[in-house]
Amino acid sequence: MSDAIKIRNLAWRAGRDFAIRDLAMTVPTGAIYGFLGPNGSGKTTTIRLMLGMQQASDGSIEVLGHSVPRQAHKALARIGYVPERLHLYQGLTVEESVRYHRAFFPTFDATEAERLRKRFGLREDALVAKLSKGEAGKLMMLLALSQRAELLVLDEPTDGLDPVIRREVLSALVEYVDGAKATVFISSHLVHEQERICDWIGVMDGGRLIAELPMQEFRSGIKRLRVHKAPVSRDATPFALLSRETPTQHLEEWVVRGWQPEMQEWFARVGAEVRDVQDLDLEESFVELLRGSRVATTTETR
Amino acid sequence: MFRQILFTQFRWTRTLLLLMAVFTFVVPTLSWNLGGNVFAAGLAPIAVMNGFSTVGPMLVLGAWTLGFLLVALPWGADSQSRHVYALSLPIPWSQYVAMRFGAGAITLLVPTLALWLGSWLVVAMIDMPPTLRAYPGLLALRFFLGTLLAYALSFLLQYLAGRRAAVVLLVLLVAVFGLGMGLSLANQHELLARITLWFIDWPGPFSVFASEWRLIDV
Amino acid sequence: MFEHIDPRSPTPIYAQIADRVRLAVAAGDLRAGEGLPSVRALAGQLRVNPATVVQAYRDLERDGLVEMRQGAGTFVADVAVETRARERAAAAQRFVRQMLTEAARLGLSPTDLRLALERDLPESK
Repeated sequence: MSDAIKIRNLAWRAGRDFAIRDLAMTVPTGAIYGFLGPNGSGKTTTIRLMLGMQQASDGSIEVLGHSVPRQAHKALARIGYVPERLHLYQGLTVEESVRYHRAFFPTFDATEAERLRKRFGLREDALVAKLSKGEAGKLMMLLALSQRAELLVLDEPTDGLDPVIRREVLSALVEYVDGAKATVFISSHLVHEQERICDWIGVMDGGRLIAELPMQEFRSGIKRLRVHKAPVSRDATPFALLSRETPTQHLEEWVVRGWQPEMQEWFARVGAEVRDVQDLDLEESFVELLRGSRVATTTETR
Repeated sequence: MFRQILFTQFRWTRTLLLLMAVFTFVVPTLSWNLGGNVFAAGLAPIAVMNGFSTVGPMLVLGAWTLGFLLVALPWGADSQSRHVYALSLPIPWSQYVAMRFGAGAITLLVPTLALWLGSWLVVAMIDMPPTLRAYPGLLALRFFLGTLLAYALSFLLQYLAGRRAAVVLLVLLVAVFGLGMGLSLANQHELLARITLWFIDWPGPFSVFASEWRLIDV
Repeated sequence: MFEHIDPRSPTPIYAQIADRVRLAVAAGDLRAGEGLPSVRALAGQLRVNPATVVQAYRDLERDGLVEMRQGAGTFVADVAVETRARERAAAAQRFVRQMLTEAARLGLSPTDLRLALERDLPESK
């Protein structure tokens, strides 16, 4: 079993406006998988389906070898989950919340929880309802990490936290991953954060997974080319053309996916010349990828 | 695990339980007050009996209120996060629901015990004639069963999702309406009379509410 | 030593980390036998994937700049003077190449660069 999460042709529908269609996803064991996508692209729904908290209308989900939703509770015993919004009970104190959580998770490490509580500067007797947003985020992360889980599923774990707390939380996460060799599935729209940590990237848009590949490939495969005497036709390119702009009269800027240096030859054959090959950072790649996929979808439906 | 469920149940409903315990403790003592014979030397059992016919319905009302709120408060705490916490626990939903139900049922013992103590106190102060007998234990048991019934119905309605809850509600309405019809038509149809009686006579499901609640009886 | 690691740079993060160590060794800021931060500590501090730090340390080990001792950590190797000189030259070369690419993008000619360099270098004054 080399995949922590395996999803095949998943379908789910909410009303007329939103649906998840034919979603396939594979998260290798040990990966730190960044789940990217604009707000409302279906990230949270996918996570809820993955954890058996909602029922899919079609498809199969396997998490840590357990079939979801049928055996979701078995998978959940091995998953540390941090939801998008605070899910803990408002009326309990920090200490009571830890005790409650601990009772359900067989692998919970109380010593680790205490260590993290001190590190995060959370008071034992503080009421959950009185915690600041940052403290609440830290408490959720504390509980998930103390479970000693094999898989962490984090839904926007740092969204809305200030930079100092974000650093604290991410450092604790990275240190945990190094010690426990856990798989991490981290959903976020904060691209720069993913860029540091993740080694796999999945991109969601409009209820579909439009890309899934190792970070290195994602970064190195998408380039901006400055093309002199660019050909008019864009057919039969050995790469996928995501966008094409004409900033000056003689030069065109092409953003392409799946670029290899050998592909320069293709341009020579059509009488063009590549003047420059620029790397894009993750955010630019992400934006271009979304743009490309949206153009493709609209031409498809036309 | 269950201890923590019970702990949270208690945490969310402790004020309610305390108020109810005070209420059920005081109700039996009210009965001799309402009997109009408070400061007379020695309590007259007849006065208590009469007084109890006034306060008895208060207990029934209390049982329904408690049964309903005991479900609503924990449900409120869980639905604050749209049940994300409960659903992300590594136990099947059915087990979670069963434990929540059990925890609530256990906390019903608090007002029940208070009622039993209050009744026992009143009875201890009465010079009981040989023709009458006091039933503090039975009254408490009856209160417990009544609250449990109200609690179970309210629980069922709350924890069954939308359409199923509507079905249960419909069945209940039909049952109550049927009972009313049954009672009015019982003298004409023997079968109807039997069915109706099965519901409201011991050990039928609604028997706890059917007749008057009494502390002292023949 | 590891400040300003830039995840957006086209140079991969592991290479940036390795480069910092190379430079520090070449400049003599890190001496033979000195310990590098543990993988966990450095990954935590930089908030990067631990595998990235491991890859950086492996690269450095392959080039003979550090030794990874099982269970003890990573230590700066005894580096010959020539190696240090070579590392410095290589670092300078990388820097210049980066500058040239950037300059070409901005439309600056090699002559422009040479003039600017001569004006700002201290010994040319």
